[in-house]
This record gives sequence, C-alpha cells and structure tokens, in this order.
Amino acid sequence: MSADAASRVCEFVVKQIVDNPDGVSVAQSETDGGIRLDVSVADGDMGRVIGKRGRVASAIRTVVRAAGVDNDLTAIEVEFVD
Amino acid sequence: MEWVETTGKTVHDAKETALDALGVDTDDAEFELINDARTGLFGRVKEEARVRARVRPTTPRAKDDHRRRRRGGKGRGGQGEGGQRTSNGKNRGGQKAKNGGESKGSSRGAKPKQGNDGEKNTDKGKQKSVSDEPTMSIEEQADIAEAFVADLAKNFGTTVTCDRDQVADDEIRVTVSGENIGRMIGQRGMTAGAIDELVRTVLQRHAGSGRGGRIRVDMGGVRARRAEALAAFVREQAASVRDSGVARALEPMDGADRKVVHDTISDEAGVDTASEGEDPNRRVIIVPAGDAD
Repeated sequence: MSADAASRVCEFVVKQIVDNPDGVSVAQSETDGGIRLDVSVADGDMGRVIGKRGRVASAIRTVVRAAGVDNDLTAIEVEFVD
Repeated sequence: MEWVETTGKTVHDAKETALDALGVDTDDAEFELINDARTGLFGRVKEEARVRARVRPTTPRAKDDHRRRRRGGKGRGGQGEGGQRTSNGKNRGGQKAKNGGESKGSSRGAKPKQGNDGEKNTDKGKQKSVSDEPTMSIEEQADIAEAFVADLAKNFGTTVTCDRDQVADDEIRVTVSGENIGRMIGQRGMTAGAIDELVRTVLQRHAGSGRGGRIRVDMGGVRARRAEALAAFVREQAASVRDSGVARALEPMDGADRKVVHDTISDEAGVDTASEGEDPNRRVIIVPAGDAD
C-alpha cells in the first residue's frame, strides 16, 4: 500500500514539474528492505526534475519518502534515469 | 522592486549575501555587477566585489515562453520603443492566446488536479483572468499552489484545507491544515520544506516569466510558529552580542529562516548581520554594529 503511495506521489510530483507529462514513467522494483523507483522523463525535462544543484531532485526524494515510508517499508530509493 | 547592494570577497560571496538579504533563490534574483574583487599582492583582498541585486520582476524563460506569457510583459529591458509596432500585433495575439492558454494549461496536465483547481477556485480564478494583467497575479499563483498541495495530499491519502493570508503586497502565505498532516511536515519540517521547494518549481513552470511576488506554503502552520520562535531566539542572541561586543554565529539555516534572522536583526539596534558558508551550510552571524566586515 505505502509502496503504491510512494510511487503515486512520485509520478504526480514529477508530472507537475515537467514540460511533457506524457513522457513521465515510474518503474518500481524491490530492493532488500525497500523499493526503488526509477523515474524517466522526456528529453529535455531532466534538468527541470533535477534542478539547480539537485535541489528539486532532493525535494522529490524527501516528499516521496514521506509518502511511502512506514513500519513495513523503510527504504525508498528514487533514481532519475536518462 | 528594491535593489540591495552587497559586497563580498568574491562576486559569488557578494551574490550569496544578496540572496540572503532578499530571501530568494538564485533563480528569482537579478544581479548587476558593480565591481569585481581586486586582489593585491599575495592574494590579499584590496577591494571587495560589489553587486546589486533585486528580486526578479519577471523571470525570463527560454522554453515555452511564447506560449502565453510574452504579451508586453513589463520589466523586460529589451522590449523598448522600437518594438512597439510589432509588439502591438503580438499583444493582440497574446491576449487571445490567453484564454486559449488557460484551457491549454488544463489539458497539458491532463490530471485531476486541473479540474479540481477550476472547481475549487472558480470565484477567485475567474475574476483574475478577466482583468488582463501583464504578469500572473499572485492570487493565481496561490490558486496553483493550493491545487498542487491539495492533490499532493490526496496522493498521500489524506485531505487538507488551505487558508491564505496576504502577508505583504507581494507575498501570500498559504497555511495548510488537516488530519495526518504530520507526515507532510516531517522531522524538523524537512518534508514541509521539500514541498515548499516543489511548489516553487511548479509555479515556475506554470507562471514562467510572468511571476512576481512570492507564495509561501506553510504546512500545519509550523513555519509561522517556527519563525516566531526563531525571531525570539535571535533577539536574545542579539542582546548578548550587543552586551558582549562579540559576534555570534548561528547554526546553518535555509534561506527562509535566514531571512527571518536578517529581518529581526534589522529591527534591533546595535547589531548587524553577516553570512558565511554555502547552502546547505550557510549561516548567519550576528555582529556588533559597525563591525560588519
């Protein structure tokens, strides 16, 4: 459930930020003790998602973790893939 | 908008100080270099770098800009008298595009958010789009911010309500409250800070160049309480600096908190502020007046 919340929040936030929301996809996979979200965006939107000095990217990570982390799920990784 | 003038050992330092004073991000500020630092023998600083900065009245955007925000935006230096004829024509196009742009804006997200936005803010939103403002009004920005936060909360599995306060001519504070809001605040307000950052990014995308003023999102009112507590703490520290004549460095804080410190100190006699370090370790130092570097 909370993994879904993390993934949902992640997709929502990224789509709000990019120029091309249709180009956004979030792939979820299991890691030991948690999940990993691989986010890919359309060409040219990567800079927007990462932001100056990675500020936006780290804000996304913080918010996604807050959405997903609970007793069962302790580790959520968010990676932005080219 | 007001300009502030700052100095530093390097241009970069001077800019950082200016950003602190303005309480904004590099993206939202505009700089003019007055003079570069000059170094003397053995790298000793002979003359400090001096810059002038202000909150950027319009944020130029490379992409997407022509879509709707180009209509005779004020504060664009390049668009002078010469451009009058063409800019007139452009203007009309731009205005038409505005209404179109509104619906385009909705379709592009293709998310429930947009519908929500329309519903919830019908009264305010409508009013604003009738008056043809050169920049996206701060109320419209607040609409976007509120819609974003409300939808974010939905994705968190909770519901929130937003209250807005016009805290200054160019600043609206949106206070968000609701059950289970704690998760959206986080330890030491970390999540709340991240949400504020995301709101800023979203506004940047929606409003583009037509963005003036500032929207502050305060989850659960923690920021207001924290600002009060911080100001009280700073006044205490200021008193001790004034009495002892010894400067005191505060712990590293983010830009919003540093602004609280600067604002508080500016109302205190006998003390001044200086800043050092770089984000996220940038900190304010309270110094006895007249000692400021």
